[in-house]
Amino acid sequence: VEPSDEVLCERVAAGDQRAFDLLVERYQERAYRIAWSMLRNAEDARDVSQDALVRLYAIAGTFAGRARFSTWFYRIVVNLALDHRRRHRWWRSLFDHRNHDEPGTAIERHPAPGPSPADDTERRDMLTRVLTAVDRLSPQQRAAITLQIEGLSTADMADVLGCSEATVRVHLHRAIGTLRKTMGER
Amino acid sequence: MRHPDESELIDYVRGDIGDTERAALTAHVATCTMCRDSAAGIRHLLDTLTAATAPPAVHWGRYRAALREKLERRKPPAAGTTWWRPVSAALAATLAIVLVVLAVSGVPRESQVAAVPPPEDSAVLERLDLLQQYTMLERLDLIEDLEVIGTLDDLPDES
Repeated sequence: VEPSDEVLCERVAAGDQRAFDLLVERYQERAYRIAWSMLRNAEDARDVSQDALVRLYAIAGTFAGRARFSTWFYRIVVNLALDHRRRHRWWRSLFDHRNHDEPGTAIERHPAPGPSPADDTERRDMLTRVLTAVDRLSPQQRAAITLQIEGLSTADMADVLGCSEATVRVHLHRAIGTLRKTMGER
Repeated sequence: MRHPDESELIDYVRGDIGDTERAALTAHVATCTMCRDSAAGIRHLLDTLTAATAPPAVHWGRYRAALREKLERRKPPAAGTTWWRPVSAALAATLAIVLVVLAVSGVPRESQVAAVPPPEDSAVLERLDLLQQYTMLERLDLIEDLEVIGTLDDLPDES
């Protein structure tokens, strides 16, 4: 039987390197995906998700088991991503302005999975609009959308974001409302 | 039933409502084209986001190698990598050797000290019979008095 995340975290706190490797295997992709959804930059997402795993290694002993391990770890990733955005806001805004002036750049920065048929221009335009709109959401709204895509419940999102479930719903409702307007779906 | 607002429909699509509300909304959406289209639009948006937010591919081997480097930078230096560690080890070894040498031959034990009395004591011990002839030595306290020592010849004969 595979050990649970919580058991592995306890072992990491006791210095078990193999347990840490297992947690990395389980969470590296999720951590990277969450970081990328919030930062929209592959290099930054790699850095932030790795930093989150390093943080996990350092503070595994503080995991009290009150929440699920995944929730606890997502909080680390989201907080680091939010912090990264705050620290690099001036730099990002400089390049966002330039990129928004260049047609087609957004879809290149946010490649959709799989091949995009050349004649599917409508879909590509729609994706460009949606992802550009996601870029313009507030950090909290984008974090809520990211965690929704990851399949977290409202209660888990509240734990990760450190706010009430009602606040999570407000972030989600506003984000989805904004994105629907962008997609022309009212 | 009144038309649900967008927030209620979002919660409905996300499955974030209770069983009673869900049953009521399901019944309403089944008969209301406008709300059904709206719910379908929300679901389509979430599906689109899920597909569109797949990040660029990552080489996980290189990712983990970079992670290991970051971890190594955090760890304290390994043994032997700082200047004072070999020095302290050499000092400890030297001290250990000195202790061993002293234990084997250097420091006399207490019994050995007692077995070799100082020279003055040896002389006294060799002639105990002489000491027994001086009755004045029975009053040892007088010996501590320098004046008495200086006038021993003038002392009255107690015998």
